[in-house]
Amino acid sequence: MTGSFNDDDNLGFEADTIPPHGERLQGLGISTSPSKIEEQEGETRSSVITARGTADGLVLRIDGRVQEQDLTVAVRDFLESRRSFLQGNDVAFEWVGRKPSDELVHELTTLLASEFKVSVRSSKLKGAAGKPAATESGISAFSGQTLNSQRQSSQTRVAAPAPERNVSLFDGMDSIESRTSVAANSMLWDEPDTRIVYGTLRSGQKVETEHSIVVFGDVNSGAEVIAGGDIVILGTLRGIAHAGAYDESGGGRVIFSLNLQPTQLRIGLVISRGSGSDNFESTPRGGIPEIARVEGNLIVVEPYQSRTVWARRRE
Amino acid sequence: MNTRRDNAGKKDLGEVIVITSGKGGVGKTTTTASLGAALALRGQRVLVVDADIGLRNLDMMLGLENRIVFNVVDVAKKICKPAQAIIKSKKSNNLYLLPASQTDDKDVVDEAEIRYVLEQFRREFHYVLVDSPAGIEQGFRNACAGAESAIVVTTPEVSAIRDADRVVGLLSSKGIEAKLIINRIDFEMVRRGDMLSVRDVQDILGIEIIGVVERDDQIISAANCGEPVVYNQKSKAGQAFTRIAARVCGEQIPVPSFDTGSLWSRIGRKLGVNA
Repeated sequence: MTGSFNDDDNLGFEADTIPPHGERLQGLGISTSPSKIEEQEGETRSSVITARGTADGLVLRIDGRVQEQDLTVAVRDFLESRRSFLQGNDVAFEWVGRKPSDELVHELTTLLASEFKVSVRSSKLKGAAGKPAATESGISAFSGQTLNSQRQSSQTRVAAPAPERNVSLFDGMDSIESRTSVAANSMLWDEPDTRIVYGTLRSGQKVETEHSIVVFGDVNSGAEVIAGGDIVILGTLRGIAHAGAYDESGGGRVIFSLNLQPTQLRIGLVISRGSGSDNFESTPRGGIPEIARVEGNLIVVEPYQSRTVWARRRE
Repeated sequence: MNTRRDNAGKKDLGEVIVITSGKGGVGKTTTTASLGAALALRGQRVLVVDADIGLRNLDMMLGLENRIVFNVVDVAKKICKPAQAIIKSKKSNNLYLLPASQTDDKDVVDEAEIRYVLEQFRREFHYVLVDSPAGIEQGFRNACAGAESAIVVTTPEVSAIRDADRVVGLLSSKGIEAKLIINRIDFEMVRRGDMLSVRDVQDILGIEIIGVVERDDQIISAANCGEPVVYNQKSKAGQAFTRIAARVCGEQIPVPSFDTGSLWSRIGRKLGVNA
């Protein structure tokens, strides 16, 4: 489910809860000398925004996970170097990873209009429905879509032509996002390209992705899951799980498992050993769901309670 | 591993089952010999193939080491006719051995050659059991070539289970379904909490268990005299392999889990059943 900020809802995000979306680290154990950090931030800034042409015009893809003030600077830099090319045109914002606040969108729109004479056509989250952003263009994003394509990842299937018999089903309806209630919007977190593993990972098998991982199965001893994002294991974790793998701090990422008996847990650069790796008796069957996160410089494991995760993320 | 083979014989091709484990020393060769002998006792025509080229053992388990003339490499390289290489067991007219070569190593044959060898025998036998070497390298790949199903042998030890897990994953990536034999379990130790139970192993590996074999000293003496343990019906391990053979043939015999420990065996003894 993706969120749109076309609605007049007030989004509950606080930009500074999440560290800048760093470039992929060179590996664990790199030194964090100040120069290295600066260098990374420099790199980050340049990849925060990318421009691409589409049938509907120019689209600026912006990484929404970057702090707001950095983002404003990055946008200004970006446009400055392309001033002559962009002047008098219009662009659409496409946000990656996270929805920006309304204030930010407004601020950027004003900035573009006043300093660069660029108007903002629309602003939406990547993966949000429809090529023509629904509310701006006045076209229902759903006219001509099947129920099925709506249920699938809205990222890829949206533009797919539909069999005629379903045409009327969503006619006159707004986009999917607008059907998300205002209250729910504050809890939305868009994870692009989450990798889902259907089945048990056995010894010697390894799944790695920059994004998050969901495993419908166990992760056995000798298997590894490595994710830039969160790891959710709907089964027993006996092997190694590494969340927030490309962010030294772990980026507030968590590892969840219905039964947590890992060989090792890693979040960012923090590593902890499993407790019962050499004694099978201490790995009881039917354990309780637990969640691991970083606190200070330690990995903390606690029983999963449905309220804790989101509360932590908002901290 | 299904019923169609039980009406001994007029079916087209025998089933090729690879017996493997990943870890060494868990009882692959013993299992191959015992299961082969047990199937033969049921009237099935069985060929056991030793794919552990360079470290051959299966011939000794069957007491046939001094009758070997040709071996699996000779068949693969077409040095001899297939029928010249197989050796009939001393105890059964239905059980044959295709021995490994002791002087070559595992890289002298490839998967295509092994597949060719197995094709030569499938018409003549109901079951072809391939004894895989330990490891997951070329020897293992050779042993799996041409197999339709697999029996993975493990002991209730964490290291053996991890290796078995790896092997199950590799087999399933080859499209081979694996079933599990838990070997050398000691229910007394399980009861004391000193050994993983059948259910613990099942939880981790998540595949069908086709048999549980208790630790049994007679396995060792049987191996030393070259007579598979199934000929001794007093042996618990022998009984276990007999039941496994029945399950391979498609009979529905429940695998006792023994997880209720003493209770099971007590009830079993009272009823006069062999659990």
